[in-house]
Amino acid sequence: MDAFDRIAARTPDHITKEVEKNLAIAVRIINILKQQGKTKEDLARLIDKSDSEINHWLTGSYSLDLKTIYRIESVLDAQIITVVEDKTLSVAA
Amino acid sequence: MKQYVNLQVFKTFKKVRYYTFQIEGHNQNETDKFFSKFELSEEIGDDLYRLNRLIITIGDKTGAIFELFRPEDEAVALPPKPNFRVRRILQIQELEHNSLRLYCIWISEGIVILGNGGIKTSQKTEDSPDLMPHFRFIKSMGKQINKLMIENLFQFEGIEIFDLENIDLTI
Repeated sequence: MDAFDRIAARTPDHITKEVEKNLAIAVRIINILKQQGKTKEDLARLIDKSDSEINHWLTGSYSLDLKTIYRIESVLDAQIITVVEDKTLSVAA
Repeated sequence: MKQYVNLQVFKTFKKVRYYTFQIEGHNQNETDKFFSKFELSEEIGDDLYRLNRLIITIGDKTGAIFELFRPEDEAVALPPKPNFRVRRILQIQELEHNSLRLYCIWISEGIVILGNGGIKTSQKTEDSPDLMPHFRFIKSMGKQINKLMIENLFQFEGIEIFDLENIDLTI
């Protein structure tokens, strides 16, 4: 086992989740942009951020905050994340 | 004196095969040196885990989507083929904590060649003593591979680079 595999074996579960979800969000945004024929620069203009900030976000190794995700969902008119429906809450309501 | 550098497989995942460089006479390949160097480092903390998991997740789930790789400004000044760039991988945690760099050469969505890296301690790469030798190395490898591609001596398909033993690289 080399150093890479040893590090992988002891990576905490919450970091695995963080990286996988950050990457999934970035890929989802990249795909939405491609589907809509938009560029990362277009997104930067739409949410008033710099190109380098958007480039950074879309590497998938950045934890976007929820407000930013909602903003991107709004300007792109597309869903990026969903929340698992809590059926017990539905019953209570 | 010239030293030969061989390309070899580093790790294979479902969607991506990562390659690395083995310098003649060295005990470890370049990427193994990187992970070995930081494996027990307290300075890096969780960022090493994040980088490791990023490589695995790209390899297993997303594929090496071009947009996920941030260009290293100086390196993209190479005269590449349109689909060939020297890039660095990772942006770990928030910007102010993000100091770990691992250089790589993006070949396709199925092939990435990883190099070595280090900690960025300054705004400019050239002012980071831990990084600069690795940046120079990957840039040199990138130029040589680019030349081989133009001469049709570097061929690949899917996740495989063909005839690894006949790819002549030197430092």
